[in-house]
Amino acid sequence: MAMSAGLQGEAPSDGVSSGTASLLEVRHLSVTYTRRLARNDGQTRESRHAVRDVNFDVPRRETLGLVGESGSGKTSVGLAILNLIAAAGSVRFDGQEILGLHGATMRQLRTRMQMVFQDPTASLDPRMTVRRIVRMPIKAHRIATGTGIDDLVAEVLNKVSLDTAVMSRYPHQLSGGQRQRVAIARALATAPDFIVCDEITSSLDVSVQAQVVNLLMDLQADLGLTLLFISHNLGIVRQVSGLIAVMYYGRVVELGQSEQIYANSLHPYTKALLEAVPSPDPALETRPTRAYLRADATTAGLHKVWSGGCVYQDRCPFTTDLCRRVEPELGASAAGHSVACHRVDEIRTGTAECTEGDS
Amino acid sequence: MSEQEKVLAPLLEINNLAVSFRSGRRTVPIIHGVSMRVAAGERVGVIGESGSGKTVTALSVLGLHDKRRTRYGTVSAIEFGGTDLLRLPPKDMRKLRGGDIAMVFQDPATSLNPVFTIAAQLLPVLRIHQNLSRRAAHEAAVAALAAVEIRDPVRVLNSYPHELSGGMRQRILIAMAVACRPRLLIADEPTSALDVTVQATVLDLLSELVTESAMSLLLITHDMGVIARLCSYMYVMYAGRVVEQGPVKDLFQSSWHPYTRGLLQSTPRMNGPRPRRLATLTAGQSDLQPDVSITGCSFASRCPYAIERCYTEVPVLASAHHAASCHRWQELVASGFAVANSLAPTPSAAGGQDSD
Repeated sequence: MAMSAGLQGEAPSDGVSSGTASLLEVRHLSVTYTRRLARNDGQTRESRHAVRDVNFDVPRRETLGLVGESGSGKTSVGLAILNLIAAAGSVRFDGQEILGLHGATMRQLRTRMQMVFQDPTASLDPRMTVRRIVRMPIKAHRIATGTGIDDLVAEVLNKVSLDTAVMSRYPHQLSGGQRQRVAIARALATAPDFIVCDEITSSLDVSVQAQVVNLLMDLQADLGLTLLFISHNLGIVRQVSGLIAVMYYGRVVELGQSEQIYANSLHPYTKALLEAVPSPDPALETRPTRAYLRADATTAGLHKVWSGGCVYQDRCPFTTDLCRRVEPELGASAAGHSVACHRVDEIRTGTAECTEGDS
Repeated sequence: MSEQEKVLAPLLEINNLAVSFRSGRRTVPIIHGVSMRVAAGERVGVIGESGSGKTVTALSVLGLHDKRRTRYGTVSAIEFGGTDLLRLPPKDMRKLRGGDIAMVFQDPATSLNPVFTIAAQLLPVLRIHQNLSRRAAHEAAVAALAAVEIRDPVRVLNSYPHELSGGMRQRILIAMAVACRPRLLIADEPTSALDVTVQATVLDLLSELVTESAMSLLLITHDMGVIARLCSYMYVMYAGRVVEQGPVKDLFQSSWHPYTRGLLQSTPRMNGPRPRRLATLTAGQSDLQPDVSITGCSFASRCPYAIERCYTEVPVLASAHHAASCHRWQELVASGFAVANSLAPTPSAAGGQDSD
């Protein structure tokens, strides 16, 4: 591939790969949302980039964690990859271009790519029993017939450690964790290779969250799943993902092995994010200063129209003239992973000086 | 006990709070005898999962439950600066609320009225509690917004809530809460709806404000990290009871109750070695509702260390500086939680089997 997404050192990490190394190859992916304006000055539409020129690979049986704040474009990336919203660029799934596919070809591919959503209360139909919910994809894709359907339902419920007794229950009769298990079971029903998990633990209590994460990792090992794990919870992402892409304002600003990024992040935004997470350890919580997080950090800037330069310029403590004029490309850093920052070398060696750019 | 902190006279003292809600013909007990103290200037955290009774406890302090549906225990009392809030006439309670005791709620999007400007919602607080003129209230409001690091207070005052970001709205609610210099600030999950970077700045801000004006803080959260950052003393709630209480440092270093321990271990860490799998709370599936049919410890059905006694006898929480309501805590702590359970967890747990 000409456009390497910067996963150097990331050899096809298992011998099982057939054909191409990566199950998913995303190139120059952009998502633009357009809205109609009720104005009389001739301009009737206004469009905004939610995702702009995003590149990454997800190798087979691996997990790519996609992190960023609300509004950074994480979910749009997930939806675009599944061809659920209009997008530009290229998404190759197992070697096959899927953007623009439709009809029977896409429908067939859908059995191989599934999604689990954030809030199971909203993603499960309250008027359907668990049996009907999990039967839906099986029937829609004609994966089994007759009594085979119920057998398959029982089998996938079993995979997510739910008793078959829940089959006759409605979502409101289940706890939050059980509901999310049902949503995972529904995704597994078509025996997919690839699942997009969009904030699947954020509506759960900590202890339940741990169980769902463990379950997902077990399933991945047993079934050889490839995952795109979207989350704003950096602790959870660290637990599940071997690879991480950090998004800000529709762009991937840092990409690489997660151990490396957590230990040695280089983009000022990633550093700010990691700094911001309160650690469950009072001894570590005494640190008085934050180097990267500005006191007036808000997500308000995300609503502005991008007008050139680095997307992080307004919040970055190191912004220079160059950052305002030229957008940095995602490129290999000396640390071994990819970073989109003009001043990455200075930041790595600790010689970067704050510019106190007040915008 | 021996610690000097507890010698301070408590500003807020919740004694044996029991709350039940009437629902149709049934009365459902929610809180079963909770006691908490907050000294002047102290920062106290309350942690627990959804449904553990954290918010119900906080709302009881402010008397914000629906009177027709709510029953308090006969021996319950909430003393604030010497007056019992549970028996305070509504008129006096109204004076206290937003004056001496203020609250910040979880979701800034729903706490502000969408059809009024910020000024229309912030000024009356100042005019009523501080008896200010319209102009003086406006000036005080501008100062209050500036104090929560809002750059352009005059513009923000004339904005509607939807024109502002989540972090801004939460800052406004904090400004509103602290504008009248309350002696006690109750913050119920103040940052749960915010992004981490915004959460960090809002937590810093809360911390500064509380220190500056020597306010007491009662912070409710489900995030161990937030407690670690902000509080010095904490209560762990489970199923309407306090199961452990103690100084934050002690609890994080050595928690005594199996529930607190499980909660801490199941929180993923940002540093150190990555475990192959996260520790989960219990032997069984931990998302089951607490078993109310058990006459003993409400955590027994989820507890990996439960013995027969746990199912029959409610453990009592000692009123010590660090205490846990568990029959076996001494034994467990002494052995580093390595003792085997002498009784398998109930197989009767409905809904699913063990996942680990």
